[in-house]
Amino acid sequence: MIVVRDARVSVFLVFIFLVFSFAAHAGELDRFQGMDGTLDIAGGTAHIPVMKEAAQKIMTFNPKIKITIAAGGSGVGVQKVGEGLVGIGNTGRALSQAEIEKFGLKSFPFAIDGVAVAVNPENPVTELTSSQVQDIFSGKIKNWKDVNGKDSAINLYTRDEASGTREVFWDILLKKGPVDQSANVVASNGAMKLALSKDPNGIGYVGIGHVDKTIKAITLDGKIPSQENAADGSYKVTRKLYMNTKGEPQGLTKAFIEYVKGPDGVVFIEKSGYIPLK
Amino acid sequence: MALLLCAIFSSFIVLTILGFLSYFMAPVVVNGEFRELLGTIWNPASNSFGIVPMLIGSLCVSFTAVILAYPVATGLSFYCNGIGPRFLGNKLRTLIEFMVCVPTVVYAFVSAILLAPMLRSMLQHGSGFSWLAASLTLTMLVLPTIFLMINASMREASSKFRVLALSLGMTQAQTLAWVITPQAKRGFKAGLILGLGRAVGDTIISLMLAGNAAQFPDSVLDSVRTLTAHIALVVATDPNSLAYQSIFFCGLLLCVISAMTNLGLKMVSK
Repeated sequence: MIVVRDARVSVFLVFIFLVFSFAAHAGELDRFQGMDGTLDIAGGTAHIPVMKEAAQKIMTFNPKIKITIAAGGSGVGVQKVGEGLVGIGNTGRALSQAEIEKFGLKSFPFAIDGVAVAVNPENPVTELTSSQVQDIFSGKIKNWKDVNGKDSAINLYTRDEASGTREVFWDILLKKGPVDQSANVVASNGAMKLALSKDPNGIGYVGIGHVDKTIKAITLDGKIPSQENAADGSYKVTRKLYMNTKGEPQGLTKAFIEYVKGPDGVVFIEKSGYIPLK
Repeated sequence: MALLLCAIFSSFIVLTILGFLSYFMAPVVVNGEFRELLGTIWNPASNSFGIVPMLIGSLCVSFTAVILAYPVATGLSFYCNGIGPRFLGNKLRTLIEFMVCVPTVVYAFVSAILLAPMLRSMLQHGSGFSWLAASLTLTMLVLPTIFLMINASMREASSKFRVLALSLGMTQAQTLAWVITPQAKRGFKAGLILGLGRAVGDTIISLMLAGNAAQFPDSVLDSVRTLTAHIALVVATDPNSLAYQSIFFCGLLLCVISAMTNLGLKMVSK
């Protein structure tokens, strides 16, 4: 009996394995054939889900390759790649001319990270201006009726300190302005959607890739936060995600960047809620 | 011998954890950033890293939960040990034993979907994610823990003294009040310690229900952040920042809170 069950389990595992190995673009990983060595990556937090997924696929395909990923933010990314401590330094912003000249860095943008202001689908408010959003989050506007909504108090939802989504929202839309201390803090895009979908008076923000029908994305300054508007730049609350190398990338580093910008990378980027760059 | 080894091994682990926390805290203490952490405002954007609001949040949420759960657990234990019919008592015990096995994230998720919106629409104040929502959910978590401790020691006392007390002419209620309960004192204390420990230490329930605003609550309907939720929210930040350092201090505080409740109860009972 036990033998039979074991056999079934192993057949099942083989099946799962086959499904997964065919699911990935087998050809894309071929560039790592016969390589070995270590690639260290550091920097932006928003990049991490994409980097992790790519690294896992590569290391499973070729166990001789070791890829390490560390957070630290854009500043750390520039610093470490500039000093040659890591192979790739990730940033959530374009490098300054000074940084490029000082370290001889080369940038590879691969995705757009856009943030949409969102409310409950029942909320009659569909449109806000940037300054209204700033006043709502700073606590100056406390009632929906002040922005053409119904007469009820506004419940604020923001994200944790480590969130890349919060960084974009706070830097670009709030212009680093204050966020009311009584705002609820949620730990992920998923938790934000759950909270907003249940709270008719709530307002928060999510990565554009996470918008679905459980929440309503607010039209900001007349622009709908759609993938298209984010890609062509007419919707402003976005940033590009960059991988940076010191000089022209070689070997494993080059292969990794090509892989992330290739068809497999597009899948990881979309899965993480970002828009792939052509 | 094997037991002694296990005991040595686990105390070694506990001491190692404390050692590591202190080790990571040391630089912050030495260069004086320590005072920053004792502030009352948490706002990294303006360089305020005070974690006192989180300490207060933790204490508020966990003590409220234990205060709510303890009388209920005590009542249930009395019911299962003589007040109620034996048949129902056994069923009830099985049910509560099952409650211990429910993963905390299940309580948290169900409460986030049902309890928080209900509190919001019933009480018309805030978002529902609040001190009250977290405490009520934590009550569900600590209730079975407290009950099982009390119940176990009452059963033990029952098996020794019940027949004797009844044969002396005492009623069920008298037996419970004057014989079983004093004998089960250790269980009552252990239930309090373990209940508080679980309430202070739980992360996912406060993270998903307390709202996580780093502020001092004015009412039970306000959003609060606990030490555990704070660690979960900050752990992914830049390891060189003071925000990141603060989580080691939170860890240390959590250990101190458990140690103090333990010692406090030991002192009270002597």
